[in-house]
Amino acid sequence: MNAPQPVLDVVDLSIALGQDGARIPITEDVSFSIARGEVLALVGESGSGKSITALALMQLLSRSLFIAKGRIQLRAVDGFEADIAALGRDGKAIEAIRGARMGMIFQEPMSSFSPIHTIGAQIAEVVEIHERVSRQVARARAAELLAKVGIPDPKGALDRYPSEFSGGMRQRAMIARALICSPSLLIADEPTTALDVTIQGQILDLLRKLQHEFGMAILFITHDLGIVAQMADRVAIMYAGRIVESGPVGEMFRQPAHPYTRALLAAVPRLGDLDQRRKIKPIAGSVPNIFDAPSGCRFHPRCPVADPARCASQLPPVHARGAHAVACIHGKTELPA
Amino acid sequence: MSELLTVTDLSVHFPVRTRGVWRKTVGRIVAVDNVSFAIARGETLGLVGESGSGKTTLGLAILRGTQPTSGRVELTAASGTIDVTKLDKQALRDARQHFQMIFQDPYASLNPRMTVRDIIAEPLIARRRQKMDRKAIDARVVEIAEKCGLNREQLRRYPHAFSGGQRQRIAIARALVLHPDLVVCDEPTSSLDVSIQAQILNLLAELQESLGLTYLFIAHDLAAVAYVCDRVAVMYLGQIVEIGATRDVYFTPRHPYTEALMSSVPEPDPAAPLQPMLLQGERPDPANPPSGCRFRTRCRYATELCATTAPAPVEIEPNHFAACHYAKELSLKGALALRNASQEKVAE
Repeated sequence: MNAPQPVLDVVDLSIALGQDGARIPITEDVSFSIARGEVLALVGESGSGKSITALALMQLLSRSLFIAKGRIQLRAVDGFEADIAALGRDGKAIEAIRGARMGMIFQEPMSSFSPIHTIGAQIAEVVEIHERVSRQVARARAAELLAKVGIPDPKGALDRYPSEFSGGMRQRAMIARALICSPSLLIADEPTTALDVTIQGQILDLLRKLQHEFGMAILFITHDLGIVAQMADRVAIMYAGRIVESGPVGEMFRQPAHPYTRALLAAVPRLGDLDQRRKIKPIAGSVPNIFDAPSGCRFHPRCPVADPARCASQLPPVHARGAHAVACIHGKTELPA
Repeated sequence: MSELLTVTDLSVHFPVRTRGVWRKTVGRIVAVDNVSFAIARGETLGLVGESGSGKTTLGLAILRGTQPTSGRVELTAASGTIDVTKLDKQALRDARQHFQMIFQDPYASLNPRMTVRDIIAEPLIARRRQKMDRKAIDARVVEIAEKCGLNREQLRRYPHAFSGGQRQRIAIARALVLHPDLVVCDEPTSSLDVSIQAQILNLLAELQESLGLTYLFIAHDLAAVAYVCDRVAVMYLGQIVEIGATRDVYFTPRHPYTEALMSSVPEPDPAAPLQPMLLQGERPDPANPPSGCRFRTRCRYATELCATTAPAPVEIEPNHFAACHYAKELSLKGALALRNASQEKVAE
């Protein structure tokens, strides 16, 4: 049996900032793919380019940023196929994708809803536009989705305003809005960062259930390695605008191959070794400024195993074994067999 | 160990006022409600709870950053016991050298118009009782800055030249320049990246050892709290619902709210699956809290007793207190359930 084509193929995606005619690269040669029903976590610290990449997938980059190079091939479940990178920011073509075949949930549930329209109107609007159904049908669908995401009294909630909802409830409503057209791909950009830990638990639980039910692929963008371990099937680690390592979640946590991934895992406190008095190990230095990124491998100034002559002058080669790939000069020897 | 800080029945109320000219007081929010605890010298007490639980207000009230409504805060310094709640303005100013605070946002807590040297020196200058000459001040600033990982050359610069992690180092140096006994750390790492968070957590631990500091560590990141704290207090709607040694509170919680909290922490280990004990409903309005036990509206174990009678803290094991009527009977799931799962996987 042939494996089905991935829902999303991102190939060599580079995003640049256009300033006074000069081009400043923000991300470079980012490639990944997501299969049907798979959760890929895109992980990185602030400024690594993970959110920018997510926005580019929906053609939602701000005016100063543009896609300099690369392909974003979407293959929706309904047979629809397009290269989003070639579509441009506006027009019918991208609007047929945004909100319908691709849904997105953001970090800030406060600013993602208009305060002057009811929750019901804002969710039903999505169906009305994409499926050209009547208002009644759209409202019924919206109520159905609100019930699915666990909002009590979904019919009553349709007529309430975002300000009447708590942060957790707003995040649920945003998930309902993103899923109402049964998208093939859901992009979740730090969806729980603004929430308390018990509410975060609820939302993660909900996303897992809905993913089972809808069978969609999820691109999960986060900096929290705990969430990655709990939610992802595969992980891609970004550092200063490049993907440095990617692979299946178990292998990435047990046998990481890139020095940055290793350092990141060594820097997080875990409850599991509260008794073992494990010391967390910080990463020396700080995340480089994107306008002044180091040459060669961008992690080399902070890397404990860097070879200054090679790492500073050239891009690290990419080694892969199975689904596990790493961009490092030591990659070949460090990848798990 | 002797107690450095003793807090007894501390309450902080905020009035709820109407809009308009008269601003009539129509109610009150009990942000901190009859909280009592103690911290021993050299110890770190973690204070956890969700947003709106009153943990920051409690931290501020201890330093008189906000005025407590009632209760007592006593600090046992080398010179004797100070009743912080009774100090007048001048005496409070003098007493502040014994307790300092580190804030969450190092972008907001440093004056952008002052050099790093001046920021760190300011507490020394503001302390009017003990005048120091410029040379002595400089020496002290350099000494503490170096302890915090800043070099001499950086002292001439302004905060904008520093990253978030380095700014937090400056804030820590400023807090420690007076050699305080107690430092209240309010979410000191939550605005920082993972790799930088580790630097600051380890720095705080080192400084505690070398300077003999005592911390009240306020945070919502439960893994970070477990890493630095000897004991942990859990707050819900202005009350401490459970307090005890970190290990006990995390792995064998005795309060249903702690259970919900601890089981919701996503562990960075794919072999330790998240099985949150989900809470029902939303946090109640703090201006209008439920009768009896404040957690009962979201508690799966609540009975009629919980609606009528507020539970008092009971000592379940030595030094492990929980405020729940059923603390002794319930067998609750802690972070231990998760840890066991991951260890079994490793053993396989």
